[in-house]
Amino acid sequence: MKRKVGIALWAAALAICLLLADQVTRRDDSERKYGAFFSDEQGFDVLFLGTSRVLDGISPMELWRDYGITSYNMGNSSECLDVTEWVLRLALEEHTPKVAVIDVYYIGRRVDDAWTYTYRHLFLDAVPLSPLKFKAVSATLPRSSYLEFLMPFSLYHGRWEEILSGKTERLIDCEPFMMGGELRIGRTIPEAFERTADMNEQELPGTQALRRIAALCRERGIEPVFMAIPAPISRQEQMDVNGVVLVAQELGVPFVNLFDVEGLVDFETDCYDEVGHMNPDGASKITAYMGDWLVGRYALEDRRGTPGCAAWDERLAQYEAFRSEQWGEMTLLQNP
Amino acid sequence: MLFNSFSFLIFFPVVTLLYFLLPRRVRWVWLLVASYFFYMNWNAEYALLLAACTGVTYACALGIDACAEKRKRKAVLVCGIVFNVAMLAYFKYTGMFLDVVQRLCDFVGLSVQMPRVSILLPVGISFYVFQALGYMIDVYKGKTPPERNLFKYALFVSFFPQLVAGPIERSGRLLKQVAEPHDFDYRRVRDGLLIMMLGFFEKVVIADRACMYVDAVYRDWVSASGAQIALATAVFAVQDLCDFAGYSYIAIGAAKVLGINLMTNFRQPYFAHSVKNFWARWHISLSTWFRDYIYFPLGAGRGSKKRQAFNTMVVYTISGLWHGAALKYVAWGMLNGALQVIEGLFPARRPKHPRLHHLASVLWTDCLILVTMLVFRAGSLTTALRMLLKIPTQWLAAPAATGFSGMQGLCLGVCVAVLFTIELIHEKRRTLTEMTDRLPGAVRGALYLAAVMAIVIFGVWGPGYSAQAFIYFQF
Repeated sequence: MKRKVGIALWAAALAICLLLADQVTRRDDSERKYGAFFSDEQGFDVLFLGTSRVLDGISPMELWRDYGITSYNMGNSSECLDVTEWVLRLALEEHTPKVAVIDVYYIGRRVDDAWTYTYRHLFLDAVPLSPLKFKAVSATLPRSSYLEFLMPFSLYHGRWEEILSGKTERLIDCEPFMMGGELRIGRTIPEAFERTADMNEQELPGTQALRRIAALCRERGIEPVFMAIPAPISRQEQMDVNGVVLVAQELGVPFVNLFDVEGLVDFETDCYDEVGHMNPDGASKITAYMGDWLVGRYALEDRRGTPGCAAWDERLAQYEAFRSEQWGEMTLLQNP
Repeated sequence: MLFNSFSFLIFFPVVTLLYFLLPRRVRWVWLLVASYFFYMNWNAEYALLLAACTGVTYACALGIDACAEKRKRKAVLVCGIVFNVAMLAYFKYTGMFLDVVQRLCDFVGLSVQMPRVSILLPVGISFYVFQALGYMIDVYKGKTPPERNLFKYALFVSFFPQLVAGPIERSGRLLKQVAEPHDFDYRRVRDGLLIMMLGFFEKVVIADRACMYVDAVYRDWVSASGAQIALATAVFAVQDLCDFAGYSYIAIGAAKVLGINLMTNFRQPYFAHSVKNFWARWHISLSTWFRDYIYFPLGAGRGSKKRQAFNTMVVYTISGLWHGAALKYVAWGMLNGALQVIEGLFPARRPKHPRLHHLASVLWTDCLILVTMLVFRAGSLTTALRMLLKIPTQWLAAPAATGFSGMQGLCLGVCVAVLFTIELIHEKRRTLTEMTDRLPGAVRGALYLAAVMAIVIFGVWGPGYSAQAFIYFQF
């Protein structure tokens, strides 16, 4: 009996040590980006999903500050719509928003494991283990990657060297109080591009995913919205994005194509990099436009001052201090 | 299925659990099924070779037993040996044979183009063929009775812990053990798991880490300094030991958990005081196989000095060929044989300072072994000679970039120090379990826990994290 108790205690100690090691060696980018979503108990009015366009272009804290909308930015780099569908499915396991805004920039892209490998970790590492997570992994990743995505410790246990040397590289400029948004501090004039109103009317790799996303939203009583954020992209990519209007009409889903909003973004001042990801100024403009649009279209309650939302005000204070410190410094440097 | 794979971490507990839960009379059947599953997990088709080797040696052993006439017995034995050696030669040496013929043709100026073949080498074929041949020869010599039950014999040949990398067991030891049911015994299972843990430590923490440095230097040896080549060769000696001995420990431990005792395969080889002594400690199951089935039949150490030297050279040339299908392995084997022949020319004398003499002998032997290791690891015989020459002539040249960080080097150094301590304990004829058994239960448990965690965290396993790769993907 004594021996059995000893073995049980030892096994329990081993399990605890493994869990601790998992916590210590795990990269914290995932937690910083999605931790607040999975630990939140109140829920969100709006979820934004899609690529880095939405990640850098929408600030949930500014939506809160100006409209009282509780939202979470689930955007992630290099995320095609097949993956966005799974992000939405997994997100809906935790919360049911009123509106889900889907960025359609990657409508023409297929799943590309090599390219999206890092960012798949960024999202999936934060998702609690569940049968749905297993489905998501098996549906979108090669078999050889299952273990590392379901048990990230198998990948990160070798981080001891990086941790001991203190040379940890950040993957994303995201803080927990940004509710999934990213603040990329910088100002670059991107490559010039020519706007086209032409559209690609063909079925694209992401079209079926859009249909499934719309159906899933309706099944759960969520309003789907398709959105495209302006960026200096190629003529073909613009045509693909413009073509979403057809599938939006077919599904009866509103499509907010911000390419068509004249003067919304000033590419001379609002971009962080040469491929046109938004800096804080650009993000503020896009967020304000979407805030007006959402409030005008849906009955979204202004939650500011409501009893359970004090945490949002605390986050906002942190966000504003951080933004003014980081962005203010940058602005001063550029315009002394 | 590799021992250091996630699949094995699931496979082994499941096999073990069911082994002890099943009725005693069918336990060996379960082991046979598990062993074939283990092998087929790598390549299902090549299990037919394993079955063919099993079937032929089984039938030959029965044939030998059934023949009363010595000539016929010998004929059956030769048939069995020819079949197995031919199978081994085809799968392992066809490429080498064609390459040698091509070189010879080129050398004499014949414009002959030998065909290029690509034959997938069946995992473990050198091990199971030798084990089956050993059984057949033992039956021929009357050392062991033939096994009448084909499936029990099949289990002897395919027993999964030692199937793909040894130890190469003898029928007299293993055949009876695998067929008998073994009950759960806490102490034995614990000891088996501890041996496995030592194996995992050697394999995934030391060998696979050492491999990073060794590969980097040997790949770019032209840019490496003499000191780097010497260090990489020393690190390779550690890697080779830990890789092979680690695998053997896992095999021995896994078998012990199931109640089966396998032979010791490595006994502190770098504490050897001569090259001959080194081979009495390194891959013991193979060395003794060569001794029993080739060296002794050749006449062993009997006869003239020349004859003894010839016998040694034959055995070590074949040993070299067994280790790999390339001329460098043959040269490596011959070098080991030659060193032993030379050693034999200088009979041992009683030293004035035995301890000092012993230490000097050990260090000298290790230096000789390092030279043989360099030949073994280098890309070719020519490369090996150039690398050897580079050690003294470019000792202080600018070192090549290896990408092996100081932190990894520190980790490797600490682990090698731990390994050296363990080897020293074993050399004093004591075991780790004996030592830890003296500790209070809580301390022992904490020690085991720390060891598991060290293997898990510092082991080179899984997909591997590279911060650089992650950052690269940002763009």
